[in-house]
Amino acid sequence: MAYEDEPKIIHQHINVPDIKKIDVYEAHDGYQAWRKALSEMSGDDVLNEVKASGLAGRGGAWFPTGMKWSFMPKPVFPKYLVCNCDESEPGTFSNREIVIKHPHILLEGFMLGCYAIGCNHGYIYVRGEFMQGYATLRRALAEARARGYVGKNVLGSGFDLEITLHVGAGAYICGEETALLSSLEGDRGQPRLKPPFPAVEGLYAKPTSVNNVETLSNVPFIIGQGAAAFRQWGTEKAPGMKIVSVSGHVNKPGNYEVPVGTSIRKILEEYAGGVLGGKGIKVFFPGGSSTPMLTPDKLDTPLDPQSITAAGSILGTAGLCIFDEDVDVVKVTHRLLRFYKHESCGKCTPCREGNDWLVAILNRLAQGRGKDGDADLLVDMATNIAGRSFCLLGDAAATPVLSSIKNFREDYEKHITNPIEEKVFIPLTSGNGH
Amino acid sequence: MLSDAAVQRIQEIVKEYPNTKSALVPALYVAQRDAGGWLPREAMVEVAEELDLPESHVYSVATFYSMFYLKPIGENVIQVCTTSPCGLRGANEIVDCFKKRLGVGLNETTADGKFTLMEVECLAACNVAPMAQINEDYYVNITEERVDEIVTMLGRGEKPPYAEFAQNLKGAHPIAFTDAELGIDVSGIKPADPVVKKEKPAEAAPTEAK
Repeated sequence: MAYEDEPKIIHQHINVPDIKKIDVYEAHDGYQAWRKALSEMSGDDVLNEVKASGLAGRGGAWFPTGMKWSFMPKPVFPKYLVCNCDESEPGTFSNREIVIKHPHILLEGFMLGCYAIGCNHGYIYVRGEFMQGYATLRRALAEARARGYVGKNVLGSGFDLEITLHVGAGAYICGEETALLSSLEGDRGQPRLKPPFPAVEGLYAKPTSVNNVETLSNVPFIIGQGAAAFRQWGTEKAPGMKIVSVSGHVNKPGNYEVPVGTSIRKILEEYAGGVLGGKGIKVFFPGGSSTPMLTPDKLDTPLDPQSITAAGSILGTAGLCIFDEDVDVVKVTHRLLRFYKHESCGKCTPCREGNDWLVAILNRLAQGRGKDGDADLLVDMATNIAGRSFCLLGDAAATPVLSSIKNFREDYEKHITNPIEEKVFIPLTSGNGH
Repeated sequence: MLSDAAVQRIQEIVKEYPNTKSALVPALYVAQRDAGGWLPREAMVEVAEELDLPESHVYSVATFYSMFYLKPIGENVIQVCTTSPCGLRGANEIVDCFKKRLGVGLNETTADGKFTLMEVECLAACNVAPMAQINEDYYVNITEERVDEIVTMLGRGEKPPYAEFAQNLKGAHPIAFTDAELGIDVSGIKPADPVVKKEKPAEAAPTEAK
């Protein structure tokens, strides 16, 4: 079946002209789930339906959404729902398409989420660079308010709901949920220690759930059609659909919403039109640049969290980036690490200093001036960043280094043209021990 | 230094939060727009006064985020994404084209003050690479010919027809604008019908244990 004819959830109406306008959205069953929830369901009913659907966090962590919501202590007020629209993981671009083309589906899902957890004032954190996305959401929110879907006593139900659009100002780290909350509170976007987890002490030290754009945009379908309808797709452990962002050396880069568990090869060949110029693949990452690189022998892996983990990587955001056979893996890693070095927030030493050193060594390798033992040195440093930094950014930075050396150590050796006996940089520690 | 309109917009934004500190990033966007595209020290000091925050805090936040400029910047800011997925599709060549066309290097401004060229990290638009953020817009699938056209049109103060915003926001974030300025008008939209609460069927009374 052609991709266009396959069933979809979020993308079902995404290409309908003017779907970003409220009357067009309503003509395509928009806000019916919101009306249904307000008229015949309690907040707990909504939460239980989401729990039963098995929806898990589409921002990359794949944590069960219903369970996340149920962790919030009931008797504490106020509570907050915060939508993470700070999409900035290299190779990931599904949220941006939703907010610029289909803002009401996100708003409806956000409203349902607020109702489920008993939040009367929610915040949508929109990445600073998404100026068009912000403006689109702002217009859509004004329309929703005019219709009475937001505000005091929503549609006469007795439920009050305010929604505020907040904006970032350029910092990858703000996609990390506690850094996002710091940023929303008007501080530098630096992560916080967990515990306490946001469900207990989040925004303004109140119970908070932070959910991704795509996660929330699935909720109107789940409430409108029921958990069983959602479960008709996907795997037992990860039901539903996932929007896969395909980029890099492919003929038709783009977002493809497919049942969780669809094989990577099918997405690549049938939907994304195969590799540019019919070339072979050197390497790909399946879930954003922070997930370990895989080699083409893993192309038949089903795209679900469990199978990708078994294949040696992480599904993450399902940002699938393809690198053709002609790429230089060392240069690819070098460029990726420049990203992490730039985006390290500077709070903890392993990530701030470690990334700087990783880039310094990759710099000389990329220029063909590597020294004997550089690959081992990189591994040593990367293993001392991973697991020892304050948040996962450090682990993310170590990932391309470790996975590329694991798969392509011989490529690193090719960049050593100036082998010397003594090591210029002496590792501060050896091995993994504390 | 902050205009009355800017102060008014900041106060409008403050109402959305339980404290003034949360309004800091939006307020800095308002101040940056007000000051003509960058944040002079005096503007930050006034934001601190307006929000009743320590000046040092305002400065620490302004320096953390990449979208605040602490020095004067070109009228048009061209930021090409060169992160890996864009790099695979010719982003570095596009950077070279801009360099050649403008006669400047990265992080430099043309002598006439019209353009600043920069490289940025992932803008979440890898499907339309190579791409750049120029002022308030994303320009996608950029080709060599487009580089020339974009620079020529922006240099004349016009917006290329494929820009995302029809309006010229001069690179300012739309949060710095009022609804009226952005042309958001919902006066024609009527309230929806109220919902009718359906009582849930009462659960059967538990039968008394015998």
